[in-house]
Amino acid sequence: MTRFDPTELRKYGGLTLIARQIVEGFLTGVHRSPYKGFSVEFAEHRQYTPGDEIRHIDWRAVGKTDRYYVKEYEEETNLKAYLLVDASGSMAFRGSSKSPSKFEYAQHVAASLAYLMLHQMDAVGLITLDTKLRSLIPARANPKHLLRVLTTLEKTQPGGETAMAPLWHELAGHHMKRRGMIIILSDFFDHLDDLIRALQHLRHRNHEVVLLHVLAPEELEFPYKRLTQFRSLESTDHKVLVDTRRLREDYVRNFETFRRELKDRAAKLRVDYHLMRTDAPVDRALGIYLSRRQRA
Amino acid sequence: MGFLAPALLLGLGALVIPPIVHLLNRRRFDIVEWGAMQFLRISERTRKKIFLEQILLMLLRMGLVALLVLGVASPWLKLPWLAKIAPAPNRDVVLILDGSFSMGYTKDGKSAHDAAKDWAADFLNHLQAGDAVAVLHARQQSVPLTGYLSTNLEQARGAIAEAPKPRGGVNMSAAVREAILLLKASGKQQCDIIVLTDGQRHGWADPKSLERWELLASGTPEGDLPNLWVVNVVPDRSPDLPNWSLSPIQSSRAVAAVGREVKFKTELQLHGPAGQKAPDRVRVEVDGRPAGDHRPPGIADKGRIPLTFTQRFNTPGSHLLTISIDEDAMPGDNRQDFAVEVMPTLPVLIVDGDVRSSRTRGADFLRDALAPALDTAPSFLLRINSIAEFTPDLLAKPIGREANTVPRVLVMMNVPAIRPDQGQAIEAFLGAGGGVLVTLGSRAEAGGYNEEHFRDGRGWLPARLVDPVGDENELEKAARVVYSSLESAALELFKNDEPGSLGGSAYFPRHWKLDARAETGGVPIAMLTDRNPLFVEKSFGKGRVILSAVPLDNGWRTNLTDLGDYVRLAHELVYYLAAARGGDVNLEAKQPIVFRPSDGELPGPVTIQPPDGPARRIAVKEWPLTYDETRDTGVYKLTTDTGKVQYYVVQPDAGESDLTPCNDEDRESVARLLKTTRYVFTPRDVLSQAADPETRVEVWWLLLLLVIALLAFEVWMTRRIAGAK
Repeated sequence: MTRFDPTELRKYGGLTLIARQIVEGFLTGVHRSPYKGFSVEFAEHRQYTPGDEIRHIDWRAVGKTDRYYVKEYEEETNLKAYLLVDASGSMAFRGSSKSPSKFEYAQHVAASLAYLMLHQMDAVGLITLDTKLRSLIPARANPKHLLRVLTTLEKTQPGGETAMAPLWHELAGHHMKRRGMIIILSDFFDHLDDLIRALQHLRHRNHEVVLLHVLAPEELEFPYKRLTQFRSLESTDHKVLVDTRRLREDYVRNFETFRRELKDRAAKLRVDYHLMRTDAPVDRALGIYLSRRQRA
Repeated sequence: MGFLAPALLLGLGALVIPPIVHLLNRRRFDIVEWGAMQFLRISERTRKKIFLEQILLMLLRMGLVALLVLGVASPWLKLPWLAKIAPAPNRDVVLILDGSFSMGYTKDGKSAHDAAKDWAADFLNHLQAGDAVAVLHARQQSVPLTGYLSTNLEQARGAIAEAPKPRGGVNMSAAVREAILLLKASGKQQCDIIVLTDGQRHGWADPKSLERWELLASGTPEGDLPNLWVVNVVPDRSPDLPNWSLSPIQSSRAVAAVGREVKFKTELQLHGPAGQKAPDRVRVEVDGRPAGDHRPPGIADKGRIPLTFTQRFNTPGSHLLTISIDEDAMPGDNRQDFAVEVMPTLPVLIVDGDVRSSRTRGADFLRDALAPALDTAPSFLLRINSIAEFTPDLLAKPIGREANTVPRVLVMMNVPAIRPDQGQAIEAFLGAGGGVLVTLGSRAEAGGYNEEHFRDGRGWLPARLVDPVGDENELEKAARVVYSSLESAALELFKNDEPGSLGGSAYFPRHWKLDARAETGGVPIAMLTDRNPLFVEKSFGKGRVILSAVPLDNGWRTNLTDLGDYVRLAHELVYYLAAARGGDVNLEAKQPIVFRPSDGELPGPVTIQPPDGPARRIAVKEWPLTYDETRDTGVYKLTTDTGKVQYYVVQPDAGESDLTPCNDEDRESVARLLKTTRYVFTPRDVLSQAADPETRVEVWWLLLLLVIALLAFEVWMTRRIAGAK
């Protein structure tokens, strides 16, 4: 299977091209795809399984075949998905000069997902946010919608502090009333309890939520050896001089605790959690989406 | 508490290094634009802990530097309990072996010198690793057996085993001074000088030695004086040991004429209890060949047996006269040597103040006495010049045809005055070892002599001329010679008052009154009955001058020239003056050999055979040859490539024959001068003194232990902190 290195892709410029190459490469690699023709206009019957609503049983088919089939409607198979991209300052972190920043990585992932979703005839919307809502593009299944999504993504620059939880509440309450899939790309450097409460809200609205935790390897491994002054990407006044070797163990433990807690608490809410390292290929996110899409 | 090397405490300035490094490290850091700020937070407790750890680490490193500097500065303490637990400090030791010939006294086949070597070897066995030792052989000039302090004890053992046989006298204070100088460079707190001697009074506490100790003590600050341990290696030696010795040979003539008798004197001396049988015979050798035996007469006063004998030398050149007795328990004093220079004729330049050329001029009397016209082979080669003809170059030119006939003696006979240039030539002649006889008569002018040549005692003239005294017409009042005053080696032959002799019959109606006070350097060697000196002698440079108050001719109506002693007197005076240079071949210890062939031999290789050790060959590019390695007493034989032989004898210290041991008072008198002196017997006596509670204990080792402990702690702490990282 051909994998795409986002760092390589960057030099070709333009999210559209990047997204297209990622997705097509991904789909080409997936032979005999079980998802091919999944969202076309053809409506099909499928065998009834306990839990299906009785009103959806095709009684005529029962009469002919003596078996219970459920008739699936075309409009019900379209998925409405929202890409929530964290554009706070912390997402601007770039581990090494060769790596993309977390935001760039998130852009690529979001663009690829949008491309794939529209390719699958799913409706896709885009929300960028930091402490406030930066942009909100409602979900559409129109292929022309892709350009708008990608343009918005491209124009967005990371900045400002991270305070996503209140916005999620707002989104759940006002903008995303209809059930759908919400894919959140963020480093989630926020108060964990607030985040979990916001997730609960989203789940309460029956949204399928996928957390793509975008992190640089340096944030996970903390490889620094020398005395280092860390300057906050979100607040220019915030500087900390740290003996990194003394701090590393504490840092890694704290960070891992945070990540694991986020994952565990998300799991309890039946929210998928996926770690996305910026040094890993972007197309992994597509697999995650399709897997989730199948279940949805 | 104190420090052996306090200057090194300046190194404490290095204490600022750890804080500076700490601060510099705080100023050098990387900058990272970071997102996950919330995870960089550490608790206040952890922050304090880190701060305390950093401070502790810095203090630890400062402590390490401080302890290291203090340790290098070699601190010491005076703590009795510490002295008990402290390891014995390393010490620097200078062993001084008494090398005088009294150490050769042998009993039961073992000499005191052997005992000293055994003691030293035993002492070395007691030393610990890191102790440094130097070994000196104390003689009249100390000889370094190992010239520096070395921790190589095997080297010291070898040097002690190879120490040369005892010989000659000893200047112990010089050896101790040398040891002090060696130890001055020592950085150790424990410094010892150990003198291994036979407890003999001579060389340790005799008046001359005490003077030397006093000189040493006055020139050495008390703090600079190391421990001085004195070991009598033969404590059981009886104080009344019998020992026969031969005194150094004396002769009035270190210069002799071929075929003429030369008289030598020495003494057989008994040291120790009386009643000992004297040696049966005294052997005489000339140039190493037997020249007859002499049987000593019975014991004379105070155990001394005077021996007088004559010897003829039939060939010119340097000869060695040796006398010896059978070897006894102390062989070092059973032989004496004397070098004699035998000349075919002795060149004498006579300068006469009488300008007449008649037969009756003053110089003719002297010429007749020294080289009579009828003598076909006279002992003296004379040249007579008037004062007007006397030019300085005459003293440097050969009188005869041979090159070795440069004047040895100058006689200034009744000259009115000596010109300044002539006086300077005479000074130079004396400086080179010549002899000058000045006779005064009616022509002498006191003013010129006194102002130009006496110069209030600073000139070469032995006495100030006052005035001629006496009346030549009053023979009955004429002064006579006080024969008992004739003590000088030149005149002792005339010490009698027999009729016809100098002491018995000579009279001098008129003579010069000479003022010869002691401070002028002139010594009267013959006195007249009017209490005025007849002859006054003075040493000037390497030469001698005798000033005669009479003209030594028949002037002023003296009967001297009519006496039979006149000829003998002339001979003795001239030989005596010529022998001034004889001191050049019979030397004191350390006096250098100065060799210049008198026959005009060209410079070339010279071989010197010292008393001990191998011969040395020296290439000489220019005369004179100066050889100053005359530490050992005995015979030095110099041979030129043309076969010319010259003997030199370094005279031994006769006092070494006296084995009288030091008594308590003697020992105490030295200990009073050198406060650190202690008399001990065994190596343990020396080593046990280190355990004295009042002894300073070096504690650098303690600091070293602390440094190691702190270092280990620092490493542990650093690793712990690094581990925490």
